[in-house]
Amino acid sequence: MPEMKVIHGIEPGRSLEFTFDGITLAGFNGEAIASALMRAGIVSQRVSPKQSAQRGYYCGMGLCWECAVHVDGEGIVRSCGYPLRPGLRVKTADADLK
Amino acid sequence: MRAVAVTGGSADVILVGGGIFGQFAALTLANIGRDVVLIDRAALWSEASSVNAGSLGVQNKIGELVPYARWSWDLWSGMSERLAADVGVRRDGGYKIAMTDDEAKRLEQAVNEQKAVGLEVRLLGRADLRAEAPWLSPNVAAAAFSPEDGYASPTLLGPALRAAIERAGVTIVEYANISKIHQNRGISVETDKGRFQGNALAIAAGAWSGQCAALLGEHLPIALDVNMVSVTESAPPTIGKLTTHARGILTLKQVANNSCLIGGGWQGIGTLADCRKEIDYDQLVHNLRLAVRVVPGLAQLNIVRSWAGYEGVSPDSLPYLGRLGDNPNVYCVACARGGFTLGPLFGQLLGELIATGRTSRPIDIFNPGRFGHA
Repeated sequence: MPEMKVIHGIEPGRSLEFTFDGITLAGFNGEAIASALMRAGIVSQRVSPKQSAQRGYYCGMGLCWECAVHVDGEGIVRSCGYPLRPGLRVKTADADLK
Repeated sequence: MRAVAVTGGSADVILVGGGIFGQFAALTLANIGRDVVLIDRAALWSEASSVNAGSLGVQNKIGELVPYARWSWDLWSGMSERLAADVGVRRDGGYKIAMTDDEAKRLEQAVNEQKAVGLEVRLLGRADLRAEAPWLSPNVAAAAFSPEDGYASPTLLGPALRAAIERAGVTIVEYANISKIHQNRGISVETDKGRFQGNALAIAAGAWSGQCAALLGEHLPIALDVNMVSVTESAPPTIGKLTTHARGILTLKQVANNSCLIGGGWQGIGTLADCRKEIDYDQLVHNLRLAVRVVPGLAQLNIVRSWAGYEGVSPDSLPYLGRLGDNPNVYCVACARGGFTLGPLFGQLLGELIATGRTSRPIDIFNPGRFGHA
């Protein structure tokens, strides 16, 4: 594991479960979807439409949209800025296109 | 790519402005063996040619320009082969829509005028549209369909065109500010990247052409539009074909990567002097609301980005093309409404004019001197 910088005084939210393409994953309440996916080892959240290349979290600040995912009941969102809540059902964004 | 730092030099022709007009003029001249230096104030392909929405509409041009748009399409059709690169050219037709009975009446009149100049176009009522284009809102009262409309990708064309002019031997000088132009014994252009000597000079600097003409003591009136464009995320099929509005206030298309482009000339904020090109959100909201009213499927999509770009506009909305002023070796090509569509043709016509003194299409109505002296 790379060395990590810990910022003291910031506590994670309650532990929760959510699903990504039907797989149950663990996360913390209020953290970004992208953060929980990354910890689960999922680095690609979608596939590019023209060349079917793997795409994922890139700019980390809401500009590039490469980390887009589909959230049940909400539609396409940027996973870098969308907070997790218990039971959230998340899918790859391209699932809508097929 | 050549990495030689150019610091002055000489050429048959000095072109100022590395947009679509300047680069196609450069390509035309270099292909018939002329030495060309192409100077730009910044990087080539960084203004209107690059940030426009890529429409290659014929229907949306003003009457005088419809034949020119069709002639330019003759060049667009073979563009990917000519440049040996995919530049996203697609011609599957487009709808020009009317939302009210009044607009429908004006549309019918426009259709008749366009038929008279040879454009293939047919008028469709509500029932036709429901059957043929169900992705359009039932609020659309009428539409004209022409199979001659299409689009290309400015993003793909830029690098492909640059590679072509480099192969053809054009010398490219970027980030050069012109301080003076002398017109004795040939023409010399003083820049902060050196002094360039030429037999002929052409201004193809879009919205900046007026400033360049002023260095020559010539009056070239140009107003500035700051057009906004927005792009959505990649989406399921939403916009069937290129769609424009009878009043010229909307363009919609879904491009090869499945994202939807929304334009229509809604105005952002900025001037040449303050260098701003910013989104005016109050205006953008109207642009997007109208888009959703015309194509309801857009409502569920996210806008990924909005941007604004400069467009230079002449007082009669016709482009400038021809000799500039009294010097027979000074030329200008600039400021077309629909410059992306017309670019390949107008660049070529300028190249012909410089090389041979004549053009394969009439250009009298584009005379840069038509507004007289200031």
